Amino acid sequence: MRLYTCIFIISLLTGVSTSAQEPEALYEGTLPLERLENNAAQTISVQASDSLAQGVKPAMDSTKLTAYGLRVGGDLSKLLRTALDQNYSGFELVGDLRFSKRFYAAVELGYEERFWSQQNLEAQINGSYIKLGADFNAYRNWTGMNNGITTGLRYGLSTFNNTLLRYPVYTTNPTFPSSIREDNIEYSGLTAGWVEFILAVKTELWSNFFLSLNVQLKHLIHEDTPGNFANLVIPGFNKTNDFSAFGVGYGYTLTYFIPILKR
Amino acid sequence: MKRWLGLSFMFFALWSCSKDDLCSGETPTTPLLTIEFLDFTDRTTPKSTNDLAIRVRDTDSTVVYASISEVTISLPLDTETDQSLFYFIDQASSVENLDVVQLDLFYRRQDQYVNRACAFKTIYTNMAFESDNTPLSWIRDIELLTPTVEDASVHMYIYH
Repeated sequence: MRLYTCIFIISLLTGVSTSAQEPEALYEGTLPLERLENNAAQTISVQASDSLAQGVKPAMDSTKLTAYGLRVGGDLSKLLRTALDQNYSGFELVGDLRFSKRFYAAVELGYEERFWSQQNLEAQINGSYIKLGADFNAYRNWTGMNNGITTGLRYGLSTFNNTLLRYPVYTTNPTFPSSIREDNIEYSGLTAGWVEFILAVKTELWSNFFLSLNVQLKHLIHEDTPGNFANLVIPGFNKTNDFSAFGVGYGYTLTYFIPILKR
Repeated sequence: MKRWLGLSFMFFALWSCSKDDLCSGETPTTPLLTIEFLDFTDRTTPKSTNDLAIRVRDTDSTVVYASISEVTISLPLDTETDQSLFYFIDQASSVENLDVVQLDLFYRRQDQYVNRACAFKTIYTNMAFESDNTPLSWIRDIELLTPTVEDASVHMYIYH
């Protein structure tokens, strides 16, 4: 099943990369002037460029002020998952501070409780985390709009408890029945840290209300390994990988922008 | 814009293609007791078993091996109790030459974490054995090489 999902995704990827070869759509403040002049041979588009260029010019010249301030909110996807997924409960508060035209200082604070259950291996992990870093808005807005496509870096730090509840002993020979041990070994006060690359699309829904979808690629830097077990999941980092240090995550946040000054 | 789309699909691809939920056959899990059969007169020469059957000494005499003629065999040990009791039956298919020797193994167990797919394995320490073999049995001598069983090396010699 996984294989088909992968093939599907890879086919999507190739689709996206081939269509990316086409000229980029018209967007960003600099409008169609040159582009349409290139097509000057076509008389129809020359006429079009005239009317368009005149229509846009006043907006570009306008000198509206940029608002700086604090954006605070929370993650909706984690609340939804708490309601739907029995093995998960958690929340995350997010905030960022715009300190230059295109840069934001960003912070995320969260708490997660997760129940791991796979092939009779059961563990309970709970703990809180903080992520600190900055975002860069790569999207050039039309004047007066505040949308964003941001890339950012974070350092994440989590402190958590990891309790091994139940485990099977893996045997390759069927002579003796394989055993499942009920246990309750708690490893507490563990910490883990990672760096995270975050990509987000931010849309201003109504005035000062933002909805944002983000994906995160993480790389574990350090972790406290519990004696005779492993951190299958780390709050904030999500599922760890036995064979690499990478992890992934996503978020769907609703935030409110509090303007502090306009310049 | 499309570049970003491509990037975000990469994330989802990474997500769903994780391969660590199946226990690979190459991963060392619970070890088996490796026994090598040697010649009793010339104690360094490997000597193959002759139609050997191994059964567990439990109520239904679970068959471990029905009939093997090998120099080296791997014997599973019980991960639930501190002992595994066996019958070693020489020439198991024949009625008149059949020869049964009991071999009991005693040990301590220790569970070690492997990974999330294989979960835990059991290793055995403080190995000891007991046997009812006599100079007339097909098994003449038994030698335990190591007190711990945690890998695939040879752990025991049986001379016959």
